[in-house]
Amino acid sequence: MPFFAVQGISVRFGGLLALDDVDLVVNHSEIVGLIGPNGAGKTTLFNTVSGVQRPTSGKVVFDGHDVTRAPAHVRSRLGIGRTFQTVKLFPALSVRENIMIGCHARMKTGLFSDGLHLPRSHWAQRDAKKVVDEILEVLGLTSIDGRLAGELPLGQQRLVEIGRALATKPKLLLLDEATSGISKSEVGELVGLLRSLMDRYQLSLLVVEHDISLVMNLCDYIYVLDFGRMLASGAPAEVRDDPAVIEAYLGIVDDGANPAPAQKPSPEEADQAPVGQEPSLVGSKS
Amino acid sequence: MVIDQQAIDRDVARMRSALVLVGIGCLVLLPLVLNAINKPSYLTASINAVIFAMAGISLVVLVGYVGQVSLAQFAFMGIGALVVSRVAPVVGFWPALPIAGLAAVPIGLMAALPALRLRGIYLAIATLGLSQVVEASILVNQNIVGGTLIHLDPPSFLGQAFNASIQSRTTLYFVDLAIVAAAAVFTLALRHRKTGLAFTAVRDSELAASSVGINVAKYKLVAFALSSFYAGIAGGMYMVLSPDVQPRFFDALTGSVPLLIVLVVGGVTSIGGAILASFLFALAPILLPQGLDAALTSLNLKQALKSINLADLTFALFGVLLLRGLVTNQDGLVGMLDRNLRKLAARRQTRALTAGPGEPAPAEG
Repeated sequence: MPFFAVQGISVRFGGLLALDDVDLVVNHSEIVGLIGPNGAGKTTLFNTVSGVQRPTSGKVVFDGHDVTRAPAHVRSRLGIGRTFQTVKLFPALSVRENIMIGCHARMKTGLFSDGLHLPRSHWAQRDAKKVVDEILEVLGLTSIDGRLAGELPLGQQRLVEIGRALATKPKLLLLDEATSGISKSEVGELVGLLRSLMDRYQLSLLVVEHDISLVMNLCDYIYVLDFGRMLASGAPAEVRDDPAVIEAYLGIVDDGANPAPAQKPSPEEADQAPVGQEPSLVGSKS
Repeated sequence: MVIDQQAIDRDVARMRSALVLVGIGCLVLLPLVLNAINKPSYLTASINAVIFAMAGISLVVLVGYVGQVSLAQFAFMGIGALVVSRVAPVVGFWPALPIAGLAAVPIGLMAALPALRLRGIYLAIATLGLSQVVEASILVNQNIVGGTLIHLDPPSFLGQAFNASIQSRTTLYFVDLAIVAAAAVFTLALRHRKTGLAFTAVRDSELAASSVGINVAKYKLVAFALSSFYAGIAGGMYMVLSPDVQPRFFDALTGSVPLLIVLVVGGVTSIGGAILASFLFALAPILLPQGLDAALTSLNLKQALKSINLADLTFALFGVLLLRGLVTNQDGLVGMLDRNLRKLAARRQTRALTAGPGEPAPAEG
């Protein structure tokens, strides 16, 4: 049985088949990338995996459990952590508290112990603090632990969000466009950080990305979605050379609904292209 | 010149605690001052304010902490009042008071059910509906109430029955204030612990909350349970002040809606705001200067405005404050105060810095 698998997932919104019989597997300690043009169904698949979207048919299996019908908070407790495309921190809370919320499910206290500050509440707080201190240290956020999350620049907010997900002690971490809106140098740091986090916490990653060069660099295995169907999958080199994939990405140029760069950027330009914009597959292949 | 944000934060925190202490001092001294100037009617209004503040705290938990709106608070209070009136003759008033709070919890959980699916205005309407159902089926039901009025024989405290005397009213004020203080302390104690953090998470993003393992539905139910418990207690407290209460007093449109407005004016996220606004709301009608009356007379408007009483005028004033507040500062009077403290702290630091390096900062007030 695979560590994590999506089996024959279909999602139908009224007349629209957003996902059509999609399969995807993540093995232990593997980084899997999910790419595809806008509207390909990446987010729908991601939501199905994290428990926000119930599939019309198909199965989601994780670590020996069938989690197809499990709500999001149960999946989190089983060990599926996630971040969001548009960062969803708790802006009025400090960096430390944001990460501490990740410890929620393991804190053994409740309304009465918390309201009366009984020992249980203190113990839970103390145990969580150890976890949070370590995560702050690993992410290099210790010096800003008291700042309000809403006041931080986006790059740091993304780190805090990763920290919050780490605090749930995930076995599989889902990253939804973790590089969108942050600078090229920060992307480089993030890649290094993710690799060290994987070793340290025995994580597997499922990464949805616009930044194809990043996916090619980071991932062991890549799935390409297009119009709700799995167009291709394989090691980065295989996917990159797959004519159907190139077709899907270049095909966007003709699609009036989704204006892509009309001109094929040179490798240099592609490197400098701001992250979050979709560089052409061919451009990043150098 | 470097602005030290942390120093500003520290300064703001210091001023904030000073203000809280001043506020507590005012609350404690208020009845003594009122007695000294011989204004018993103000004392009754102050007790009303304290009870209103209790209801306010019940709503802060919902609106401010968990982001759920409710127009059923006065229905919870009505249940509390009714239970006290029926149970106190059997077990005595003081044991009946927590029972009243507990009795309101099932109704609170019923109000939470729509909150699991609805938000904002739809939730408000659903809780309004629940409030009307509770009023129509329970509070005006003479078989349950045992008459047209909800009645309670004055309970006694330390061997003395509560009555309308100044001494008794003063005691009642402090007893009620102690109950509100207990509720405030319990609620504030939650804030930075697991429960309070989960509340905030649910308020800010249910999606993010569930992604870290928070059972969003559970915490909405917990918040409604706590809120209705407080409101039930507030209803029981009201019975001591006013031994015969019209069930219509607990109507949503004349109770819960004004409560929500007052709370928004004071600052929905803050218990201090709820207490502050409750006192403004209860005391403004009698504290509005007599000069207003004189001014109206001199402007020959007295005749035209004769039908308007000061209570209506206060409410109109709160309406204006609400509109202004919603447009300019959504965190109410307390939020406004807080921003001014921050400005003041920043100014003080600038002054300290421009006074020259090496010189000691001006003494903190």
